[in-house]
Amino acid sequence: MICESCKENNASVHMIDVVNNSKMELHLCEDCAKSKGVTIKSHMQKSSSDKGIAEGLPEIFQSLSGSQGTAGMEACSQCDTTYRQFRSSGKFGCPHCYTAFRVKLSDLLEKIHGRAEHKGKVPNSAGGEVALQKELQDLMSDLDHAVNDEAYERAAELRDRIQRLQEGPSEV
Amino acid sequence: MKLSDLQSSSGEWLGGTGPEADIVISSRIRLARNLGGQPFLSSADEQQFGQLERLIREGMENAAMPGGMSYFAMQTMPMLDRQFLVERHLISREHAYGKGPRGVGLAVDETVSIMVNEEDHLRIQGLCSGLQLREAWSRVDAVDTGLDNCLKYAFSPEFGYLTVCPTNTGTGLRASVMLHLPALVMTRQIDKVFQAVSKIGLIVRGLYGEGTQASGDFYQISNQSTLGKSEIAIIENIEVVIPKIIEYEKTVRNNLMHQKHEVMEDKVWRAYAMLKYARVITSEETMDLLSAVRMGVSLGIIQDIKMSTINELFLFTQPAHLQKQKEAQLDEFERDMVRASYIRKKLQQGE
Repeated sequence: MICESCKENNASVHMIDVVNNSKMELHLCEDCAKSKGVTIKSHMQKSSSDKGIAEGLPEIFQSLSGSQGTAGMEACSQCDTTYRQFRSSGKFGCPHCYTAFRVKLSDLLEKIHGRAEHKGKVPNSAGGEVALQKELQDLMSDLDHAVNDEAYERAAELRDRIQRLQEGPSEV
Repeated sequence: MKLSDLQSSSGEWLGGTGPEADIVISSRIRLARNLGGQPFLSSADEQQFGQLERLIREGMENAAMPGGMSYFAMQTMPMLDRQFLVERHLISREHAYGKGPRGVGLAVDETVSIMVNEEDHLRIQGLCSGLQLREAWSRVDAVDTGLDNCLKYAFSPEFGYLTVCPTNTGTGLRASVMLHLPALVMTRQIDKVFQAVSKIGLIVRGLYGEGTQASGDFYQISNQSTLGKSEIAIIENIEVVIPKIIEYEKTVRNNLMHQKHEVMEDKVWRAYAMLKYARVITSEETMDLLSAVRMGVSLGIIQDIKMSTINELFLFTQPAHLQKQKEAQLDEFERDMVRASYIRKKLQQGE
Protein backbone atom coordinates (compact mmCIF):
# COMPACT_ATOMS: atom_id res chain seq x y z
CA MET A 1 0.00 0.00 0.00
CA ILE A 2 1.31 3.46 -1.01
CA CYS A 3 1.42 6.41 1.42
CA GLU A 4 -1.65 8.59 0.90
CA SER A 5 0.35 11.77 1.54
CA CYS A 6 3.61 11.55 -0.53
CA LYS A 7 2.20 8.84 -2.84
CA GLU A 8 5.74 7.39 -3.11
CA ASN A 9 6.79 5.34 -0.12
CA ASN A 10 5.14 2.28 1.27
CA ALA A 11 2.56 3.05 3.93
CA SER A 12 3.58 1.51 7.23
CA VAL A 13 1.41 3.57 9.59
CA HIS A 14 -2.26 2.66 9.42
CA MET A 15 -4.78 4.72 11.34
CA ILE A 16 -8.49 4.25 11.78
CA ASP A 17 -10.69 6.86 13.42
CA VAL A 18 -14.38 7.37 13.87
CA VAL A 19 -15.57 10.91 13.16
CA ASN A 20 -19.28 11.67 13.56
CA ASN A 21 -19.97 7.94 13.55
CA SER A 22 -18.27 7.35 10.19
CA LYS A 23 -15.13 5.29 9.94
CA MET A 24 -12.11 6.97 8.34
CA GLU A 25 -8.88 5.29 7.40
CA LEU A 26 -5.49 6.82 6.73
CA HIS A 27 -2.36 5.05 5.50
CA LEU A 28 1.00 6.90 5.68
CA CYS A 29 4.70 6.15 5.39
CA GLU A 30 6.77 6.62 8.51
CA ASP A 31 8.28 9.96 7.36
CA CYS A 32 4.94 11.53 6.45
CA ALA A 33 3.42 10.29 9.67
CA LYS A 34 6.22 11.95 11.64
CA SER A 35 5.95 15.18 9.68
CA LYS A 36 2.20 15.26 10.43
CA GLY A 37 3.00 15.02 14.10
CA VAL A 38 2.07 11.39 14.69
CA THR A 39 4.14 9.94 17.49
CA ILE A 40 4.83 6.31 16.86
CA LYS A 41 5.09 4.21 19.97
CA SER A 42 6.03 0.59 20.05
CA HIS A 43 3.82 -1.97 21.75
CA MET A 44 6.06 -1.98 24.78
CA GLN A 45 5.69 1.75 25.30
CA LYS A 46 2.00 1.89 24.59
CA SER A 47 0.86 1.30 28.14
CA SER A 48 2.73 4.32 29.47
CA SER A 49 1.24 6.67 26.90
CA ASP A 50 -1.18 5.78 24.15
CA LYS A 51 -2.32 9.34 23.59
CA GLY A 52 0.17 10.21 20.86
CA ILE A 53 -1.72 8.91 17.88
CA ALA A 54 -5.28 9.38 19.05
CA GLU A 55 -5.00 13.03 20.00
CA GLY A 56 -3.66 14.25 16.70
CA LEU A 57 -5.90 12.22 14.44
CA PRO A 58 -8.86 14.48 13.68
CA GLU A 59 -6.54 17.34 12.65
CA ILE A 60 -4.49 15.03 10.45
CA PHE A 61 -7.58 13.71 8.76
CA GLN A 62 -8.75 17.26 8.20
CA SER A 63 -5.42 18.52 6.80
CA LEU A 64 -4.99 15.56 4.50
CA SER A 65 -8.47 14.92 3.28
CA GLY A 66 -9.44 18.56 2.78
CA SER A 67 -12.87 18.40 1.25
CA GLN A 68 -13.55 15.05 2.87
CA GLY A 69 -13.70 16.84 6.18
CA THR A 70 -16.85 18.67 5.11
CA ALA A 71 -18.28 16.01 2.80
CA GLY A 72 -21.73 15.01 3.90
CA MET A 73 -21.99 17.98 6.24
CA GLU A 74 -24.77 19.66 4.22
CA ALA A 75 -27.89 19.78 6.36
CA CYS A 76 -31.64 19.68 5.87
CA SER A 77 -33.01 23.20 6.39
CA GLN A 78 -36.01 21.91 8.35
CA CYS A 79 -34.54 19.48 10.87
CA ASP A 80 -30.75 20.10 10.65
CA THR A 81 -30.02 16.42 9.96
CA THR A 82 -26.80 16.21 7.92
CA TYR A 83 -26.32 13.70 5.11
CA ARG A 84 -23.47 12.20 7.11
CA GLN A 85 -25.75 11.71 10.13
CA PHE A 86 -28.27 10.04 7.87
CA ARG A 87 -25.64 7.69 6.41
CA SER A 88 -24.51 6.62 9.85
CA SER A 89 -27.98 6.14 11.40
CA GLY A 90 -29.91 5.15 8.24
CA LYS A 91 -32.70 7.47 9.36
CA PHE A 92 -33.95 10.77 8.00
CA GLY A 93 -35.09 13.52 10.36
CA CYS A 94 -38.14 14.78 8.49
CA PRO A 95 -39.93 14.51 5.12
CA HIS A 96 -38.01 17.54 3.83
CA CYS A 97 -34.72 15.57 4.01
CA TYR A 98 -35.86 13.83 0.82
CA THR A 99 -35.84 17.23 -0.94
CA ALA A 100 -32.66 18.46 0.74
CA PHE A 101 -30.64 15.36 -0.28
CA ARG A 102 -32.55 14.67 -3.48
CA VAL A 103 -29.58 14.31 -5.83
CA LYS A 104 -27.61 11.86 -3.68
CA LEU A 105 -30.78 10.09 -2.74
CA SER A 106 -31.77 9.07 -6.26
CA ASP A 107 -28.60 6.99 -6.54
CA LEU A 108 -29.03 5.52 -3.10
CA LEU A 109 -32.68 4.60 -3.66
CA GLU A 110 -31.77 2.99 -6.94
CA LYS A 111 -29.17 0.89 -5.14
CA ILE A 112 -31.69 -0.19 -2.49
CA HIS A 113 -34.76 -0.73 -4.62
CA GLY A 114 -33.46 -1.11 -8.16
CA ARG A 115 -35.53 1.91 -9.17
CA ALA A 116 -35.86 5.43 -7.87
CA GLU A 117 -39.34 6.50 -8.96
CA HIS A 118 -42.60 5.80 -7.20
CA LYS A 119 -45.33 3.74 -8.78
CA GLY A 120 -48.58 2.90 -7.08
CA LYS A 121 -50.95 4.52 -4.61
CA VAL A 122 -51.12 8.31 -4.36
CA PRO A 123 -52.79 10.01 -1.38
CA ASN A 124 -55.85 12.20 -1.96
CA SER A 125 -54.02 15.10 -0.35
CA ALA A 126 -51.39 15.04 -3.12
CA GLY A 127 -54.12 16.34 -5.43
CA GLY A 128 -56.00 14.86 -8.35
CA GLU A 129 -53.48 16.05 -10.96
CA VAL A 130 -50.59 14.13 -9.36
CA ALA A 131 -52.74 11.02 -9.13
CA LEU A 132 -53.76 11.39 -12.78
CA GLN A 133 -50.17 11.87 -13.95
CA LYS A 134 -49.05 8.87 -11.91
CA GLU A 135 -51.78 6.69 -13.33
CA LEU A 136 -50.91 7.79 -16.86
CA GLN A 137 -47.22 7.04 -16.29
CA ASP A 138 -48.03 3.60 -14.89
CA LEU A 139 -50.34 2.80 -17.82
CA MET A 140 -47.74 3.93 -20.35
CA SER A 141 -45.09 1.74 -18.80
CA ASP A 142 -47.56 -1.18 -18.81
CA LEU A 143 -48.23 -0.41 -22.47
CA ASP A 144 -44.51 -0.58 -23.24
CA HIS A 145 -44.31 -3.96 -21.56
CA ALA A 146 -47.39 -5.22 -23.38
CA VAL A 147 -45.95 -4.17 -26.76
CA ASN A 148 -42.59 -5.78 -25.92
CA ASP A 149 -44.38 -8.97 -24.94
CA GLU A 150 -46.42 -8.77 -28.16
CA ALA A 151 -49.61 -8.83 -26.07
CA TYR A 152 -51.46 -6.66 -28.58
CA GLU A 153 -54.95 -7.15 -27.19
CA ARG A 154 -53.85 -5.88 -23.79
CA ALA A 155 -51.85 -3.08 -25.47
CA ALA A 156 -54.99 -1.90 -27.28
CA GLU A 157 -56.94 -1.93 -24.02
CA LEU A 158 -54.22 0.10 -22.29
CA ARG A 159 -54.02 2.57 -25.19
CA ASP A 160 -57.79 3.18 -24.94
CA ARG A 161 -57.55 3.74 -21.19
CA ILE A 162 -54.68 6.20 -21.68
CA GLN A 163 -56.69 8.09 -24.30
CA ARG A 164 -59.74 8.27 -22.04
CA LEU A 165 -57.64 9.61 -19.15
CA GLN A 166 -55.97 12.19 -21.38
CA GLU A 167 -59.30 13.39 -22.74
CA GLY A 168 -60.43 14.81 -19.44
CA PRO A 169 -61.86 14.36 -15.99
CA SER A 170 -65.41 13.63 -17.16
CA GLU A 171 -64.28 10.10 -17.93
CA VAL A 172 -62.53 9.54 -14.60
CA MET B 1 -63.35 -3.27 23.13
CA LYS B 2 -61.08 -4.31 26.02
CA LEU B 3 -57.77 -6.10 25.63
CA SER B 4 -59.19 -8.96 27.69
CA ASP B 5 -61.71 -9.55 24.87
CA LEU B 6 -58.79 -10.72 22.74
CA GLN B 7 -57.84 -13.34 25.29
CA SER B 8 -60.76 -15.64 24.65
CA SER B 9 -60.34 -15.53 20.87
CA SER B 10 -57.33 -16.42 18.80
CA GLY B 11 -57.71 -14.05 15.87
CA GLU B 12 -59.13 -14.80 12.46
CA TRP B 13 -55.64 -15.33 11.03
CA LEU B 14 -54.99 -18.43 13.17
CA GLY B 15 -58.20 -20.13 12.12
CA GLY B 16 -56.38 -22.42 9.71
CA THR B 17 -59.13 -21.80 7.17
CA GLY B 18 -57.44 -19.74 4.44
CA PRO B 19 -56.08 -21.11 1.15
CA GLU B 20 -53.08 -23.46 1.56
CA ALA B 21 -53.52 -23.22 5.35
CA ASP B 22 -51.64 -26.46 6.03
CA ILE B 23 -48.40 -24.77 4.96
CA VAL B 24 -49.19 -21.04 4.86
CA ILE B 25 -50.05 -19.83 8.36
CA SER B 26 -50.83 -16.22 7.53
CA SER B 27 -50.47 -13.37 5.05
CA ARG B 28 -49.54 -9.93 6.29
CA ILE B 29 -49.43 -6.49 4.67
CA ARG B 30 -48.02 -3.47 6.42
CA LEU B 31 -47.86 0.13 5.28
CA ALA B 32 -45.47 2.77 6.65
CA ARG B 33 -46.92 6.30 6.71
CA ASN B 34 -45.81 9.65 8.09
CA LEU B 35 -47.50 13.02 8.42
CA GLY B 36 -46.40 15.84 6.12
CA GLY B 37 -44.87 18.96 7.64
CA GLN B 38 -44.01 17.16 10.89
CA PRO B 39 -40.65 15.90 12.13
CA PHE B 40 -40.01 12.18 11.86
CA LEU B 41 -39.84 10.44 15.24
CA SER B 42 -36.08 10.00 14.74
CA SER B 43 -35.65 13.72 15.37
CA ALA B 44 -38.74 14.52 17.47
CA ASP B 45 -38.43 15.67 21.09
CA GLU B 46 -40.76 14.38 23.81
CA GLN B 47 -43.27 17.18 23.32
CA GLN B 48 -43.44 16.61 19.55
CA PHE B 49 -43.82 12.88 20.19
CA GLY B 50 -46.89 13.63 22.32
CA GLN B 51 -48.33 16.11 19.80
CA LEU B 52 -47.96 13.59 16.98
CA GLU B 53 -49.63 10.85 19.01
CA ARG B 54 -52.57 13.15 19.76
CA LEU B 55 -52.86 14.34 16.17
CA ILE B 56 -52.92 10.80 14.80
CA ARG B 57 -55.29 9.53 17.50
CA GLU B 58 -57.74 12.32 16.64
CA GLY B 59 -57.37 11.54 12.94
CA MET B 60 -58.15 7.88 13.66
CA GLU B 61 -61.26 8.88 15.64
CA ASN B 62 -62.51 11.03 12.76
CA ALA B 63 -61.68 8.56 10.00
CA ALA B 64 -64.31 6.11 8.83
CA MET B 65 -62.77 2.79 9.89
CA PRO B 66 -64.31 -0.28 8.35
CA GLY B 67 -65.58 -2.43 11.24
CA GLY B 68 -64.60 0.07 13.92
CA MET B 69 -61.39 0.28 15.91
CA SER B 70 -60.30 0.61 19.55
CA TYR B 71 -57.26 2.63 20.61
CA PHE B 72 -54.87 1.72 23.42
CA ALA B 73 -52.06 3.92 24.76
CA MET B 74 -48.82 1.97 25.16
CA GLN B 75 -47.18 3.93 27.98
CA THR B 76 -49.95 3.11 30.47
CA MET B 77 -50.34 -0.47 29.31
CA PRO B 78 -48.90 -3.16 31.64
CA MET B 79 -45.82 -4.93 30.27
CA LEU B 80 -47.65 -8.26 30.21
CA ASP B 81 -50.33 -6.84 27.91
CA ARG B 82 -47.70 -5.41 25.60
CA GLN B 83 -45.97 -8.79 25.39
CA PHE B 84 -49.39 -10.35 24.76
CA LEU B 85 -49.89 -8.07 21.71
CA VAL B 86 -46.39 -8.93 20.41
CA GLU B 87 -47.21 -12.64 20.64
CA ARG B 88 -50.40 -11.92 18.68
CA HIS B 89 -48.32 -10.22 15.96
CA LEU B 90 -50.44 -7.08 16.49
CA ILE B 91 -47.49 -4.89 17.50
CA SER B 92 -43.73 -5.16 17.04
CA ARG B 93 -41.27 -5.76 19.88
CA GLU B 94 -39.79 -2.31 19.25
CA HIS B 95 -43.24 -0.80 19.71
CA ALA B 96 -43.88 -2.71 22.93
CA TYR B 97 -40.70 -1.60 24.64
CA GLY B 98 -40.05 1.77 22.96
CA LYS B 99 -40.02 5.11 24.77
CA GLY B 100 -42.35 8.09 24.41
CA PRO B 101 -46.10 8.42 23.83
CA ARG B 102 -47.27 5.72 21.46
CA GLY B 103 -50.31 3.56 20.95
CA VAL B 104 -52.08 0.95 18.94
CA GLY B 105 -55.46 0.87 17.20
CA LEU B 106 -57.03 -2.57 16.92
CA ALA B 107 -59.91 -3.85 14.83
CA VAL B 108 -62.21 -6.13 16.81
CA ASP B 109 -61.48 -9.18 14.66
CA GLU B 110 -57.69 -8.53 14.86
CA THR B 111 -57.42 -8.32 11.08
CA VAL B 112 -56.08 -4.76 11.15
CA SER B 113 -53.86 -2.98 13.66
CA ILE B 114 -52.36 0.51 13.53
CA MET B 115 -49.18 1.21 15.45
CA VAL B 116 -48.88 4.92 16.25
CA ASN B 117 -45.35 6.29 16.75
CA GLU B 118 -43.40 3.14 15.98
CA GLU B 119 -40.42 3.88 13.67
CA ASP B 120 -42.78 5.81 11.39
CA HIS B 121 -45.76 7.86 12.59
CA LEU B 122 -48.10 5.12 11.42
CA ARG B 123 -47.66 1.45 10.67
CA ILE B 124 -50.90 -0.04 9.37
CA GLN B 125 -50.98 -3.81 9.17
CA GLY B 126 -53.48 -6.40 8.01
CA LEU B 127 -53.31 -10.08 8.85
CA CYS B 128 -55.25 -12.90 7.16
CA SER B 129 -55.29 -16.66 7.52
CA GLY B 130 -53.55 -18.73 4.81
CA LEU B 131 -52.36 -17.34 1.49
CA GLN B 132 -54.50 -14.20 1.14
CA LEU B 133 -52.19 -11.27 0.48
CA ARG B 134 -54.75 -9.50 -1.67
CA GLU B 135 -57.42 -9.76 1.02
CA ALA B 136 -54.96 -8.37 3.59
CA TRP B 137 -54.03 -5.58 1.15
CA SER B 138 -57.64 -4.63 0.48
CA ARG B 139 -58.31 -4.30 4.24
CA VAL B 140 -55.19 -2.23 4.83
CA ASP B 141 -55.84 -0.15 1.71
CA ALA B 142 -59.36 0.72 2.95
CA VAL B 143 -58.07 1.80 6.39
CA ASP B 144 -55.25 3.79 4.76
CA THR B 145 -57.67 5.60 2.45
CA GLY B 146 -59.93 6.39 5.43
CA LEU B 147 -56.98 7.87 7.33
CA ASP B 148 -55.76 9.74 4.24
CA ASN B 149 -58.99 11.77 4.34
CA CYS B 150 -58.24 12.96 7.88
CA LEU B 151 -54.43 13.13 8.01
CA LYS B 152 -52.07 14.75 5.54
CA TYR B 153 -49.46 12.17 4.60
CA ALA B 154 -45.84 12.97 3.74
CA PHE B 155 -45.65 12.18 0.03
CA SER B 156 -43.56 13.15 -2.97
CA PRO B 157 -44.69 12.39 -6.52
CA GLU B 158 -41.13 11.26 -7.27
CA PHE B 159 -40.31 9.12 -4.21
CA GLY B 160 -43.82 8.20 -3.04
CA TYR B 161 -44.68 7.90 0.65
CA LEU B 162 -41.75 9.29 2.63
CA THR B 163 -40.48 7.17 5.49
CA VAL B 164 -37.86 7.46 8.23
CA CYS B 165 -35.74 4.75 6.66
CA PRO B 166 -35.26 4.84 2.86
CA THR B 167 -35.70 1.06 2.71
CA ASN B 168 -39.46 1.62 3.19
CA THR B 169 -39.89 4.60 0.88
CA GLY B 170 -42.29 4.49 -2.08
CA THR B 171 -45.28 2.31 -1.41
CA GLY B 172 -44.22 1.83 2.22
CA LEU B 173 -45.51 -1.68 1.73
CA ARG B 174 -44.10 -4.86 3.21
CA ALA B 175 -45.95 -8.03 2.24
CA SER B 176 -45.08 -11.15 4.26
CA VAL B 177 -46.22 -14.72 4.11
CA MET B 178 -45.57 -16.99 7.09
CA LEU B 179 -44.79 -20.55 6.07
CA HIS B 180 -44.43 -23.80 7.98
CA LEU B 181 -41.63 -25.75 6.27
CA PRO B 182 -40.60 -28.67 8.51
CA ALA B 183 -39.75 -31.13 5.71
CA LEU B 184 -37.43 -28.65 3.97
CA VAL B 185 -35.71 -28.02 7.32
CA MET B 186 -35.40 -31.76 8.11
CA THR B 187 -33.80 -32.50 4.74
CA ARG B 188 -31.65 -29.35 4.89
CA GLN B 189 -33.05 -28.09 1.62
CA ILE B 190 -34.31 -24.88 3.19
CA ASP B 191 -31.08 -23.10 2.22
CA LYS B 192 -31.85 -23.69 -1.43
CA VAL B 193 -35.16 -21.91 -0.92
CA PHE B 194 -33.41 -18.98 0.75
CA GLN B 195 -30.94 -18.68 -2.10
CA ALA B 196 -33.61 -18.86 -4.81
CA VAL B 197 -35.85 -16.39 -3.00
CA SER B 198 -33.07 -13.84 -2.45
CA LYS B 199 -32.27 -13.84 -6.16
CA ILE B 200 -35.68 -12.38 -6.95
CA GLY B 201 -35.50 -9.64 -4.33
CA LEU B 202 -37.33 -11.36 -1.49
CA ILE B 203 -36.07 -11.89 2.04
CA VAL B 204 -36.56 -14.59 4.65
CA ARG B 205 -37.08 -13.80 8.33
CA GLY B 206 -37.95 -15.62 11.55
CA LEU B 207 -41.32 -15.91 13.25
CA TYR B 208 -41.46 -12.46 14.80
CA GLY B 209 -40.01 -10.44 11.93
CA GLU B 210 -36.78 -8.56 11.51
CA GLY B 211 -33.78 -9.92 13.36
CA THR B 212 -35.59 -12.88 14.88
CA GLN B 213 -34.64 -16.54 14.65
CA ALA B 214 -36.82 -19.00 12.87
CA SER B 215 -38.42 -21.28 15.44
CA GLY B 216 -40.80 -24.19 15.08
CA ASP B 217 -39.80 -24.34 11.38
CA PHE B 218 -41.70 -21.10 10.65
CA TYR B 219 -40.33 -18.65 8.11
CA GLN B 220 -41.59 -15.31 6.83
CA ILE B 221 -40.96 -14.42 3.22
CA SER B 222 -41.30 -10.76 2.31
CA ASN B 223 -40.43 -8.19 -0.33
CA GLN B 224 -37.25 -6.19 0.06
CA SER B 225 -37.92 -3.41 -2.39
CA THR B 226 -40.78 -0.97 -1.77
CA LEU B 227 -40.12 1.63 -4.46
CA GLY B 228 -40.68 1.56 -8.22
CA LYS B 229 -43.36 -1.13 -8.25
CA SER B 230 -47.05 -0.73 -7.53
CA GLU B 231 -48.59 -2.39 -4.48
CA ILE B 232 -50.21 -5.08 -6.60
CA ALA B 233 -46.97 -5.74 -8.53
CA ILE B 234 -45.12 -6.27 -5.21
CA ILE B 235 -47.82 -8.68 -4.04
CA GLU B 236 -47.81 -10.52 -7.39
CA ASN B 237 -44.05 -11.04 -7.14
CA ILE B 238 -44.53 -12.92 -3.87
CA GLU B 239 -47.68 -14.70 -5.03
CA VAL B 240 -45.75 -16.24 -7.91
CA VAL B 241 -43.10 -17.71 -5.63
CA ILE B 242 -45.12 -19.03 -2.69
CA PRO B 243 -46.91 -21.84 -4.61
CA LYS B 244 -43.49 -23.08 -5.76
CA ILE B 245 -42.22 -23.25 -2.19
CA ILE B 246 -45.45 -24.96 -1.08
CA GLU B 247 -45.02 -27.49 -3.89
CA TYR B 248 -41.40 -28.08 -2.90
CA GLU B 249 -42.31 -28.65 0.76
CA LYS B 250 -45.14 -31.02 -0.25
CA THR B 251 -42.89 -33.01 -2.61
CA VAL B 252 -40.26 -33.43 0.09
CA ARG B 253 -42.93 -34.46 2.62
CA ASN B 254 -44.32 -37.06 0.21
CA ASN B 255 -40.85 -38.39 -0.56
CA LEU B 256 -40.16 -38.72 3.14
CA MET B 257 -43.46 -40.50 3.64
CA HIS B 258 -42.56 -42.99 0.90
CA GLN B 259 -38.92 -43.54 1.73
CA LYS B 260 -38.90 -43.13 5.51
CA HIS B 261 -42.47 -43.80 6.48
CA GLU B 262 -41.65 -45.32 9.88
CA VAL B 263 -39.19 -42.56 10.74
CA MET B 264 -41.78 -39.90 9.93
CA GLU B 265 -44.53 -41.63 11.90
CA ASP B 266 -42.18 -42.13 14.81
CA LYS B 267 -41.16 -38.46 14.82
CA VAL B 268 -44.76 -37.28 14.78
CA TRP B 269 -46.11 -39.72 17.41
CA ARG B 270 -43.14 -39.17 19.73
CA ALA B 271 -43.73 -35.44 19.57
CA TYR B 272 -47.41 -35.99 20.24
CA ALA B 273 -46.69 -38.25 23.21
CA MET B 274 -44.26 -35.76 24.74
CA LEU B 275 -46.79 -32.94 24.43
CA LYS B 276 -49.59 -35.09 25.79
CA TYR B 277 -47.78 -36.34 28.88
CA ALA B 278 -45.07 -33.80 29.73
CA ARG B 279 -45.34 -32.10 33.14
CA VAL B 280 -42.76 -29.35 32.55
CA ILE B 281 -42.07 -27.97 29.07
CA THR B 282 -40.24 -24.91 27.73
CA SER B 283 -41.57 -22.62 25.04
CA GLU B 284 -38.81 -23.70 22.67
CA GLU B 285 -39.44 -27.42 23.09
CA THR B 286 -43.16 -26.82 22.65
CA MET B 287 -42.54 -25.06 19.33
CA ASP B 288 -40.39 -27.91 18.03
CA LEU B 289 -42.82 -30.64 19.09
CA LEU B 290 -45.89 -28.77 17.88
CA SER B 291 -44.17 -28.30 14.54
CA ALA B 292 -43.79 -32.08 14.15
CA VAL B 293 -47.40 -32.68 15.25
CA ARG B 294 -48.63 -30.01 12.85
CA MET B 295 -46.86 -31.77 9.98
CA GLY B 296 -48.40 -35.05 11.20
CA VAL B 297 -51.90 -33.57 11.09
CA SER B 298 -51.25 -32.15 7.62
CA LEU B 299 -50.00 -35.56 6.36
CA GLY B 300 -52.92 -37.45 7.91
CA ILE B 301 -50.68 -39.37 10.33
CA ILE B 302 -52.74 -37.86 13.14
CA GLN B 303 -56.37 -37.59 12.16
CA ASP B 304 -58.35 -36.64 15.22
CA ILE B 305 -56.84 -33.22 15.93
CA LYS B 306 -57.90 -30.10 14.08
CA MET B 307 -55.30 -27.83 12.50
CA SER B 308 -56.90 -24.88 14.31
CA THR B 309 -56.23 -26.61 17.68
CA ILE B 310 -52.53 -26.89 16.83
CA ASN B 311 -52.39 -23.30 15.60
CA GLU B 312 -54.02 -22.12 18.83
CA LEU B 313 -51.55 -24.14 20.91
CA PHE B 314 -48.65 -22.32 19.21
CA LEU B 315 -50.16 -19.03 20.36
CA PHE B 316 -51.67 -19.83 23.75
CA THR B 317 -48.49 -21.50 25.04
CA GLN B 318 -46.47 -18.30 24.62
CA PRO B 319 -45.34 -16.73 27.95
CA ALA B 320 -47.69 -13.72 28.05
CA HIS B 321 -50.69 -15.75 26.89
CA LEU B 322 -50.14 -18.29 29.69
CA GLN B 323 -49.85 -15.56 32.30
CA LYS B 324 -52.96 -13.78 31.03
CA GLN B 325 -54.92 -17.02 31.31
CA LYS B 326 -53.72 -17.54 34.89
CA GLU B 327 -54.08 -13.82 35.62
CA ALA B 328 -50.76 -13.94 37.43
CA GLN B 329 -47.09 -13.18 36.92
CA LEU B 330 -45.33 -16.52 36.65
CA ASP B 331 -41.63 -17.25 36.79
CA GLU B 332 -40.01 -19.38 34.12
CA PHE B 333 -40.44 -22.72 35.88
CA GLU B 334 -44.06 -21.98 36.80
CA ARG B 335 -44.75 -21.07 33.18
CA ASP B 336 -43.22 -24.35 32.00
CA MET B 337 -45.55 -26.27 34.35
CA VAL B 338 -48.65 -24.27 33.41
CA ARG B 339 -47.76 -24.70 29.74
CA ALA B 340 -47.49 -28.49 30.05
CA SER B 341 -50.79 -28.69 31.89
CA TYR B 342 -52.55 -26.47 29.33
CA ILE B 343 -51.29 -28.58 26.42
CA ARG B 344 -52.33 -31.84 28.13
CA LYS B 345 -55.84 -30.51 28.66
CA LYS B 346 -56.16 -29.22 25.09
CA LEU B 347 -54.91 -32.43 23.49
CA GLN B 348 -57.22 -34.59 25.60
CA GLN B 349 -60.17 -32.40 24.61
CA GLY B 350 -59.11 -32.64 20.99
CA GLU B 351 -59.51 -36.40 20.85
